[in-house]
Amino acid sequence: MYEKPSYEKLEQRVQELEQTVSEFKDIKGKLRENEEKYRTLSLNIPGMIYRAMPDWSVEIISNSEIVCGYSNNEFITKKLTWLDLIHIDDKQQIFEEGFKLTEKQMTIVQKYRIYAKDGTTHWVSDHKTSFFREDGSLISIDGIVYDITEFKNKGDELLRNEERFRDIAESMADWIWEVDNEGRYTYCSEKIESILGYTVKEIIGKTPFDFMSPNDAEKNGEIFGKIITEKGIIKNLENWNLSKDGRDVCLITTGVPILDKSGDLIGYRGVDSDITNSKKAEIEQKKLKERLQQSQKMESIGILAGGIAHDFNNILYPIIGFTEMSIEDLPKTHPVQENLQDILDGAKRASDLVKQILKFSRQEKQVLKPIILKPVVGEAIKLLRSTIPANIDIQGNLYDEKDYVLCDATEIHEIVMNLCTNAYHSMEENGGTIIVRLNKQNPSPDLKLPSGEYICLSVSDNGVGIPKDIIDKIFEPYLTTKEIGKGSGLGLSVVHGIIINYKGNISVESSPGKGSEFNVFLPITTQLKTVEQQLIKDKPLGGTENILFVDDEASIIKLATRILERFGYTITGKTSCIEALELFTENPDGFDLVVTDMAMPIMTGTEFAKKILKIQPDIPIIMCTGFSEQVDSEIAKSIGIKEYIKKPILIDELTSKIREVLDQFAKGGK
Amino acid sequence: MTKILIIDDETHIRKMLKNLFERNGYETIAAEDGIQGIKLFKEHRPDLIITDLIMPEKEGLETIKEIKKLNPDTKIIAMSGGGVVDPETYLNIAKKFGAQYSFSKPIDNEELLLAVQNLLHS
Repeated sequence: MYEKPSYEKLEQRVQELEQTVSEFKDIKGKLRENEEKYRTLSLNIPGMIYRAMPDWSVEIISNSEIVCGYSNNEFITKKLTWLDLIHIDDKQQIFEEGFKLTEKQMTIVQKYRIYAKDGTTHWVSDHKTSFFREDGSLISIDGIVYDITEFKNKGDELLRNEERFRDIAESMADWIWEVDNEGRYTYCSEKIESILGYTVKEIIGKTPFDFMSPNDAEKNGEIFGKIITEKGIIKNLENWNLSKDGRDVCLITTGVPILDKSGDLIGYRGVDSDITNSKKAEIEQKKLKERLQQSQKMESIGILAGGIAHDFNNILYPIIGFTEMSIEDLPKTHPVQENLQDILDGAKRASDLVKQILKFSRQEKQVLKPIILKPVVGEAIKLLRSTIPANIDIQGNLYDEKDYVLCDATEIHEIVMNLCTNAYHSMEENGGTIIVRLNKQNPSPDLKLPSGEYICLSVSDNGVGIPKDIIDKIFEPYLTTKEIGKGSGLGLSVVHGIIINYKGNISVESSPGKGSEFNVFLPITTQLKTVEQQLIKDKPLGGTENILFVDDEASIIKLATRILERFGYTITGKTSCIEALELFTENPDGFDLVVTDMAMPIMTGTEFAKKILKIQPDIPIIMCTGFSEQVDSEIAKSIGIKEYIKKPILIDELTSKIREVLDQFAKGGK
Repeated sequence: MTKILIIDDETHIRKMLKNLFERNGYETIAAEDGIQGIKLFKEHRPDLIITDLIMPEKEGLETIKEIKKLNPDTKIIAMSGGGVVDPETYLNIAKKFGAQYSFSKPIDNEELLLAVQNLLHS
């Protein structure tokens, strides 16, 4: 049963209610305070705060004007929704991504464009989080939207700039780099890989000097050091570098200093261009220029030599002529004879020298002949012995085999003289021994010579040796270690050129302080017969046949013998045809050709020829006739004479007719 | 006596050749260039001429040509000390102009005498 409450209870209840009302008021006040606090806070945030409900209705809480120009009220009155503002191209992506938020609690950030009230397009960044109840149903998606248009534009510009500079850096033939204040690469464009072969990764952290040759590193280090102290610009600094695959690469470096705000140097950035090709072309051009100058020099020497030769020969001729006559005039035992002979020898040597100068300056077409090297090398050693000082010994160790090398004796002489002279210069101070060896030896495979037999001409010394840094260059022209005036630096390059022309090669081994050894390998010619035949073919006037020469005039026999022996023939001369006939009868196979005069006492040339042909019907005969004794060629031929020569006997006619007849009518021939 | 005309602009050569030929029984006359040589040729009608090729005034080739015009049967020996052009080239031209022999200076005395004898005996 309901009991009526007592007054005390009612009053207690009233007090409780009043207490509750008071507490409620307090809470309400605090809530209002809080609401005010958050409203103020949200108003101060430079972004639009919103709440999206599960039905996709969006409640804008604050600052919509900042982001899109529309007021909060315009959203509240549902004049427009947030979704209406999203850029048509971005809408689908926003929905797709936003849908994920309805599946579980999560936060995403979306960047998209919106249409602002003023008609412009703004970029926004939308940070949103979804909230769920315990039963899993979505409460709301709360978010904040910032206008990032300005940031986005700047970012795009930065990106465009970066892309632009990257494109330039990568499409340039040059290599762009940046180093820190210790010279270590902090950036380099990918082009480096095609220039030096190293990847960007391999370059970063290294210094430019790590890739330069030691000499260049030292030289450029000094230059770079000076530039750094002055915080200066690096301008066209040439430097040789070694690529990863061992190529020499010439770079030209240009760079500017990077300074911090207080003006301190924090590094350099710049460009390196690969100028290897143009540098090599420049070196080649320099060499060509030098070669051109050399050939011009040779040409002038040639002209000069021609003039000198003329004057010299005119000077030498009377010396030789008078000396010969004086030798003839004085008794053989006269004490002056020896002096005269020395004068004659000297003048003849000078005359040979003039011929050599002329030959050299004219660069006559060279004909290589098969030659046994021993006598030539031996002669050069003999000559050297008399010219080098006594504190230098020269020893020859030359093998005896009859191996032929296709070469020019003068040039072989020059090679020996040159190598020995270099050896002698290297021992000038302390003396020593030069050893010249000649033997059959296989060349080292490094010389890349075709297989076959080779003669090795070796010159070794125990002199100062060749410095290691130039040993690879000693065969290049104009390199010399000698003082000015002691050598042009052309010697070894000439030697090298000669050897290469003989299809041989040269190697050198040297230890500084101990001495050097040069080994010249020359191919032994295996086709001696072919070579001999070729030589005969090249010089149709000469030969090695035996000729019986008959003329009652001794001077003619003498002249013919001199001339024909010079062309290689063996001449037996007779002034008496009786004697000649006797000789022929004794040895009919001893001669390949008979040349006879027509008008001779006792027996005419025709009679003589008939007798000879009786003994040896195959022997070819040439008849020499004076103007007065016209022999009809038909008559000559009818008795078996092959050719006739009109007197006076002229060298060209004589030699060419002899060769012609020998070739056509050789014994056992046609 | 067989007469030889020597033409050379070098005094020593003329003197030496004169000496050489005279001691071998020849009579000599000498000229120091082509002009004088032709003059002496006309006056003395020598049996043989030995002439240098490179000379001032009138050089050897021209001299040979002119002498051959005066007497095609003249026996001529040409000699040359060479020059810018190969001596062989000059001497070959000299032969074409009618010199029977040609020598490069310096010439061996014996060889020259043999050539002279050969020419004179033919």
